[in-house]
Amino acid sequence: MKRVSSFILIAVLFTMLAAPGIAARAQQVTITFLTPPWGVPPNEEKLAAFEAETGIKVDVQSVQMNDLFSRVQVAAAAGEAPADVIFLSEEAPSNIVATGNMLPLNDLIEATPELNIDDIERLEFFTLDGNVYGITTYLQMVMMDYNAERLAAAGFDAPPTTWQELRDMAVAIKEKGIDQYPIAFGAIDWSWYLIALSMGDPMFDEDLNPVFADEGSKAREAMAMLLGFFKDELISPEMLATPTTPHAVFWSGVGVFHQAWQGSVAVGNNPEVSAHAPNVKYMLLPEVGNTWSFPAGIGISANSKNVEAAWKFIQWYVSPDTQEDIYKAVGLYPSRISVQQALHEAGAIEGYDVIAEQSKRIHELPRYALWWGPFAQYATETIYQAILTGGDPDKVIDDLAKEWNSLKEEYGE
Amino acid sequence: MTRLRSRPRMIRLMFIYLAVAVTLFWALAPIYWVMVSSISTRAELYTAPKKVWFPASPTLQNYQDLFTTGPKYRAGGFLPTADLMSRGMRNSIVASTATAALVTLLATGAGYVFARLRFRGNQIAFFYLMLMMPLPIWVSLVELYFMFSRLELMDTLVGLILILTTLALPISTWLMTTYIRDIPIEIEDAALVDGCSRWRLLVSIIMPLARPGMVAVFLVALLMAWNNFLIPLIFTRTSASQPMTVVLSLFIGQYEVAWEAMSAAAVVTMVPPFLMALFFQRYLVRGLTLGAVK
Amino acid sequence: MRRVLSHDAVFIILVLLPIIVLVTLFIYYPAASTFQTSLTSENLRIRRPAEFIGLKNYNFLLHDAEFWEVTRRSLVVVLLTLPLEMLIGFLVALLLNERFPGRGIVRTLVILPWMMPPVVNGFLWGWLLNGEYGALNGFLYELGLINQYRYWLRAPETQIVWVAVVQTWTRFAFPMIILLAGLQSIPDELYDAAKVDGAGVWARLRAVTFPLLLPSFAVALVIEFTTTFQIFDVVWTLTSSGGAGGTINPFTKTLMIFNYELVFRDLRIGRGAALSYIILLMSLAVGMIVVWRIYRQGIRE
Repeated sequence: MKRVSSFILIAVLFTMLAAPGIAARAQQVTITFLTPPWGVPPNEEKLAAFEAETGIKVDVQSVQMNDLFSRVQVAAAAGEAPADVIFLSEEAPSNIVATGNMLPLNDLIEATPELNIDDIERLEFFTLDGNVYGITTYLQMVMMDYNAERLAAAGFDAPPTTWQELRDMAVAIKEKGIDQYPIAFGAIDWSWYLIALSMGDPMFDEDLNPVFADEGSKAREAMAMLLGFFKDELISPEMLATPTTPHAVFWSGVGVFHQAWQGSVAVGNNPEVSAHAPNVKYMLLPEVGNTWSFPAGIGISANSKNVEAAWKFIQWYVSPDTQEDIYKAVGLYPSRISVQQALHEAGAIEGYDVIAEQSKRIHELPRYALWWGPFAQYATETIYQAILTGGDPDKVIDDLAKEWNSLKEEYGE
Repeated sequence: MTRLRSRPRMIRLMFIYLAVAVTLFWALAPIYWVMVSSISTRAELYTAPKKVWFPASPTLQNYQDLFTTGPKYRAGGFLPTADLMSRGMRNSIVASTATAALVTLLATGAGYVFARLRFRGNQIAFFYLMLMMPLPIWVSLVELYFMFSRLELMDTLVGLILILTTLALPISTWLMTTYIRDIPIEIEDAALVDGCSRWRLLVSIIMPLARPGMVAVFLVALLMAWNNFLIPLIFTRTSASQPMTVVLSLFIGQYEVAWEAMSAAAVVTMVPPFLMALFFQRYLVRGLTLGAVK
Repeated sequence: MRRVLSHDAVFIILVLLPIIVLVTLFIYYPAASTFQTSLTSENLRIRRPAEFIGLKNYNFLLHDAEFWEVTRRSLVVVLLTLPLEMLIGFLVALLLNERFPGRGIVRTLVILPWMMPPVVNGFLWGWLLNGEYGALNGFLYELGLINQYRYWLRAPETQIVWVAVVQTWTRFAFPMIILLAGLQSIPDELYDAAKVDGAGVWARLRAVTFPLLLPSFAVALVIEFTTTFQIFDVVWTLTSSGGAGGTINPFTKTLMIFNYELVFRDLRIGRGAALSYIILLMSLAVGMIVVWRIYRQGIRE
């Protein structure tokens, strides 16, 4: 009994001790920055210098992307700002920009010429109806990389230029026993977009009609090809354990052709992370070779009470210096043209030529459509299901078109 | 039972230990794997078909990295310093322990009332408590968020404790009601006849007898609070009140999971509740029985 | 139960008031608002203010094929998990009720699975079951039971089974603790009396243990039913990619995952709220049945 009561006493004491731990309201301005782990400013000293110089304390809150959306949505539904500055991933346009959670930045941009906004690429990704909701911080586009050594061991000295060629190469690699599962693609929507865009299918027209469902379209061919890869076990069944991105499997050493992104080669050749090091190289997407991009940006929450301070932070975050630091720390490709060139001249960007070439062939997907989020979710589920149950690719496409149209009707204004 | 015949006793022990071995294997095999992973290098993890069941050169590097800045954990990613881990641990310990203590206290009192005292509204109060227990919490989050922010409870340990306590109360009260019912009424009658006040009765007589129940409720509430992820995710923001469950989710990278790092973090996370459970389980023993009355 | 003496009223109020206040403030108040939302068409994607639509959300769900599929699946998970979990919990509780050297540490070790943080749990098992490098494969290979690694989570049917296994492994300690405490409250005298009457182990179990354990068993059963019916963590971390994206796996979509999807992905808050209440009603229905039958019976005996 004494134990219980003394124990309760301790618990109460703990709680009392914890109370003062609640951050005292600082005299200076404090802004909060909500970001996934890779958006955290990499150089602590420089951030401290920024804080000292401007008198703004930056409270970095890092959570996983999903959780970030949950937080933003709950807060927004309650009419509050989840944070002052919010990191915007490529899912953000549909999930938090189009839903009105972000502040338009046009006026701020105009008032800040030193921002040098023209130096920043892909601003249109975060622009909706003429309003800029986020400043692009880094660029990513879907690319492919491959293990050049294994390809050479199978007798091929250059990466494939058509999809059929890729398939044949994969079959050869498998038959020669070099790699049992040469293709590292996931059972997800992105794999389909990759093949379809690469084959040249436009996917959607300007009115957002799903032209991918047209009779005999390339997208249909792409779907058939993707499902075929799984059927013929050119892709590891481990990809099917969950509808997952293929990177973990690839880096564990399985696969020759990998569905990747701009910057993935740096990871692929990092011996601490990838078993393929140092043989990974970019390849241009086969055939027409179109791809889509998924940049990230940074914006201000619509309900923020510290807009000025938030804007100062954003300026710092997208400054050339910080962008260079970010590239060096996490390999994310800077959005500033000037920084890209500087890094290239210093030879810091691996595979720059291929990247530059690939970035000429971008055909965007309508990420900003209000219903893109639910559609993408539905697409992955349907594709995953079809792969696991041996479904018919044409039927999948019809299904997706139907869902798209029904969502469009529901949300289209 | 003091006559010890060695053979039946030995056989009994043998069977018991056999059962214990099976049980421990079932419970601990995956945990063993977590521990081994935490002292292995990545290369050792990726071996097949013969797995490395114990690394040839076990390393504490993962643990070391955990408490220093470890950017290698994720493909990209910058983990703030050891602060994050230690504060997360502190928050988890404080929040869970305080919740468990508070819940146990309140539930025991209420359990006694519901089990023993008949008064108008007893049933209604009980149902009131139980009715919303299975309500999924997703949608209530919005209103709670609103409330928390108005009450300035956002990102505070106090707020976290309050809500975790509330969520654990229905189950705990029901459990304590059930356990207290098992206590023979005669003991209380004897005390009341002797002029004992209701309060003293509760504290000096019921509580000691209900000790196993209280410990069970304490452990249940502790672990419910310790493992809760959604509530801290929404209601905490910084290391002022963020517990380990949220901190751990940061070990999931953008593209991959640093399994050896995550397992080190998991092992560290399991230590405090393990120690607490170890300490408290000794109270899961039979309290005084009818014999006390005589 | 005894009558209440006048000074007891103060006692009752003081004891119950904090609980009633907390529950009203943090559970009922938001729940009422949630209910109100369920009667509207609120959707965070649509910027028009939400309209009142009465029971339309409920109607939609009850006629939705996906809802029924998801419910069926949740029930399957319950059927696979619950009996196993309760059985293991009960057997282990019986075991740990016995006196033997080292009991203390064994009791604590057995709770370890429950202490595994949910996020880590899914990855742990995903890693254990990995088709290329998993420990399960390694173990079976070493025992000579398989000669080639298997992809355990490849097929949709086995995904659900593994969800059940992992959930059982994670949660069995909970009924175990409850039943152990219940077992501890059974006075020795009753066992002694039964032994004197010549009852063997099994008969003692039936005559003394089962009846007296019924109330605790019922509590554990109801809570575990609700937890398993509303399973989320294990399904999410094991079968939906826990990494960036967190794509929902259609083959393991249970009620709570569906609820998550409605609220946080589709942002259909109104419908999500309605689903929450339907789930509540379903859970309550089962809970009431268990309470009426098993719990009351236990009290009587």
